[in-house]
Amino acid sequence: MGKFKHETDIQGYCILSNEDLDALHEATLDLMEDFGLQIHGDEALEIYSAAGCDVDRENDRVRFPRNLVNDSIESCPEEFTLCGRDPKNDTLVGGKNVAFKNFGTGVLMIDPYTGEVRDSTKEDLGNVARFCDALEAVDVFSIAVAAGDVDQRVKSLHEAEVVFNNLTKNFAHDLEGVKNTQRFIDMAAAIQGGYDKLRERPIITMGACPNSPLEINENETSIIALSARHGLPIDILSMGLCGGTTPATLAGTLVTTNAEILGGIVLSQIINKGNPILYGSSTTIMDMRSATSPVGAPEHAMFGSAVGQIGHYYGIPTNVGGT
Amino acid sequence: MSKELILKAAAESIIESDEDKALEALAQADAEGIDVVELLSEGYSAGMRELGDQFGRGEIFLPELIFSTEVMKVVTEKIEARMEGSDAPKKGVMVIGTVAGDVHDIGKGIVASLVKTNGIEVHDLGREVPAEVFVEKAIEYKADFVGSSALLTTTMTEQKKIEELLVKAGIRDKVKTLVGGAPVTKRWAEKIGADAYCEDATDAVNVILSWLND
Repeated sequence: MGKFKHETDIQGYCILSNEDLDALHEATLDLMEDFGLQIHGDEALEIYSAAGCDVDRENDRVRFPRNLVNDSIESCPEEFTLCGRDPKNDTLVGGKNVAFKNFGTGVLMIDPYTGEVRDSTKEDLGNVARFCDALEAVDVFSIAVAAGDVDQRVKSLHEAEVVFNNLTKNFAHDLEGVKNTQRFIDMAAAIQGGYDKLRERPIITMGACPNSPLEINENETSIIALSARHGLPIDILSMGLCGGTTPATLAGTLVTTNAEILGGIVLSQIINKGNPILYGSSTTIMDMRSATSPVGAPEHAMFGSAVGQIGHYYGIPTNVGGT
Repeated sequence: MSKELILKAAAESIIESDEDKALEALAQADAEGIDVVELLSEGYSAGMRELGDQFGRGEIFLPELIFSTEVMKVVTEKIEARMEGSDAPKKGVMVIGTVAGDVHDIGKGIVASLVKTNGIEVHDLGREVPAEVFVEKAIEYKADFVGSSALLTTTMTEQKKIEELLVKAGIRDKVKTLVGGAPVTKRWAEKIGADAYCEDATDAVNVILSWLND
């Protein structure tokens, strides 16, 4: 498809014009260059600085040179494979490919046998994973329900264990902390027969979310760095809330969330040029009546549509909230 | 202007988010020799309570509520500056924060603002606050209420830790705990032994005020 391409073959719903995409990109570069992002983590700040960013250590502020951002977009692969333990369940992403992932994370379960509403368990998660594994409609799995019945300090590892044992498709996990993230990677490497084998065929997709507005925390920069060192696909996903954590306008929100995501992408590409990246967004409006974040709002779908176009424009596969 | 009219004007100034009107009511109160503490609790705060109800009913939205809390802060600061020296009894003290490992604080900020404007002394501990710090600060500030917010299934367990540490510190029976956040439910509150689950800011205010009235 190429980088910074204007599509000529759009059919159906199209929310951004080509001029909009150019304007969005320019506005984002301006923002990242003049105002910058709030980024935490000494290691990350060192890396950004060494790559040419203007880093204010005292205030954890990073300003990005335009060509560094453009180069990072250029080096992201346009297409790559989210692998499964069973190669026939591999999922190709990028270009015009479309794939589906189940949603998460529930904390309650309607017991399928008794109808009772109860806390979800590790076993429930395993069952749902196995169920999704059999469903043709699901390409990639994410943590559907939380394992409420295990030691919560290693909850994400219990969840990983039960999912790995019930899934032959790609697994996109939600982890907190670098320690557990490393252990999770160790588990996947053990399954694949080594870190090199895991790099070749990554059966896991890592994730890191910036904190709107315009901030990336140390936990996330550490996870991006660790994942990039292992060459694992990273879903860098922002969930802006219009009027709450981002500008009230949809356009303004696209700019700020774009800056956040690109800020994370730059880090990954500095550490491992060509690291597979998913540009992710669950952005929606803040419901001003109830102060909640409705993913059923029409704007959520509008953002998804815009991000799809941004992905084609930047030549980076995208991940958006379903509608 | 009579006292009733001044108190009414004060309440209205909050409902209308009118800073000028609010300051005028304060000036009028001074001219008439009305006790500013009463002006605060029967005038401005009455307006705040009405707004809280309206928000709860979905009649006004968040921006209106936030505008009003800004006006409320202005007058409260002015009145509190005068009360320095005189011991105006606070209705209660709250410590609130977003739990360790969690940086989501928009909702928590709204709760802190609204509770504060209802006459409670609020200490906002910020975000990524370890359970130990919740307890430490509750002791330091002699808190009556300990509120925690968690937005991730992975961090809500910190709320359980707070309950446990409060027990360990021997102060659990001296405070009321409130929990909130997207994955948090009434079931969860009951499971961990929290005193209340609050769905939003108005909920939190109502719960606290009802405890104070007991």
